[in-house]
Amino acid sequence: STQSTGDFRFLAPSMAARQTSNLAKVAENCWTKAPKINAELFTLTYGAIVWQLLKDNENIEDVNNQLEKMGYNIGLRLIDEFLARSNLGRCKDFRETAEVIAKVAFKMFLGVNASLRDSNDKEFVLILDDNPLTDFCELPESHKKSLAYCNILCGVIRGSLEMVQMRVECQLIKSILRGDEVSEIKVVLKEILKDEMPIGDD
Amino acid sequence: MWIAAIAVIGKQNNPLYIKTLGKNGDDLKFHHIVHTSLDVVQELTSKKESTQADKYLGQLYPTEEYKVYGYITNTRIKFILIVDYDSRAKEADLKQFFTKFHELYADTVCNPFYTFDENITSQKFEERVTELVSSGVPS
Repeated sequence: STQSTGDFRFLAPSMAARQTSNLAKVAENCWTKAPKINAELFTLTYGAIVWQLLKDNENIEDVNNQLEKMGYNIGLRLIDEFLARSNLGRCKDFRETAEVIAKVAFKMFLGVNASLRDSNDKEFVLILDDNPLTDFCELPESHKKSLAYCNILCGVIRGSLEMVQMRVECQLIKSILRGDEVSEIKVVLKEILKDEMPIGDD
Repeated sequence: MWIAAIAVIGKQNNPLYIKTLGKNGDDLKFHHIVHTSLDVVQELTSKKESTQADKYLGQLYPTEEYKVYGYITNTRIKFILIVDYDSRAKEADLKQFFTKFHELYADTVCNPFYTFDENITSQKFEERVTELVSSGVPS
């Protein structure tokens, strides 16, 4: 089939590999269909937000928190958009959630391919080697160690996962702007929020 | 074309960036040349009350060892290029250089942490200019 739909619950493990390439197809599809804006405008807009926050707050940690909160609000809403467009069903475990976020969500919304490392039932790390938010940006020395420029992404992940009954904590652990090779976001599962149908039930 | 120096000058004729590749000791000479060429730029641009997009100003003035070219953007930022006298640089090549340099400048300006009218201290800009300048613009 050319389109991945519905439940992963009933897939045998041997189909996992095929599922990954299906995810890529879903992602490509969603990305192509989505309306686009100019990348530079997007980058400059985000840069302006960060810059303004830095002007309005003395403490850089406050700026990081505000970015995360903004992302959280975006995430709460973005998840429904994501589910509606991608038409993907419930993920059977946290590992699959990681796959979907990396392969589909990042492609669909930012147009970039993210990869994973150290993915297990409790946590995973997203690797971004390309990030439109940080194009053209160079952090001044005073902010390099402390400012989490892309913290909004951490918030987006936290907000969206909360709406699908997962409480997570996200942290930007590596950043291209700080001189690292890639940017990395670590996502740790804290709690599955009750109030949802246990997996396996219909 | 052998490039001796390239400079970025701001709206109030304040220098924002100068890169010199000449022999040691010539640096001061380049600064001086850039400074004097600003007068020429002023003259040229005040005459041109034109509506055409004439960013490339052409050769500003000759010296014994070097030729000086200018380029001005609509935001009144000027680029001054100093090349070796011997180089037989074609106008097309110079224009191409200026266009590429203009793009590098635009990218640097897009950095949300760049403050206007301040010296360009970006590491990335420095690297890319070095690359552009030494990438062998054809002579």
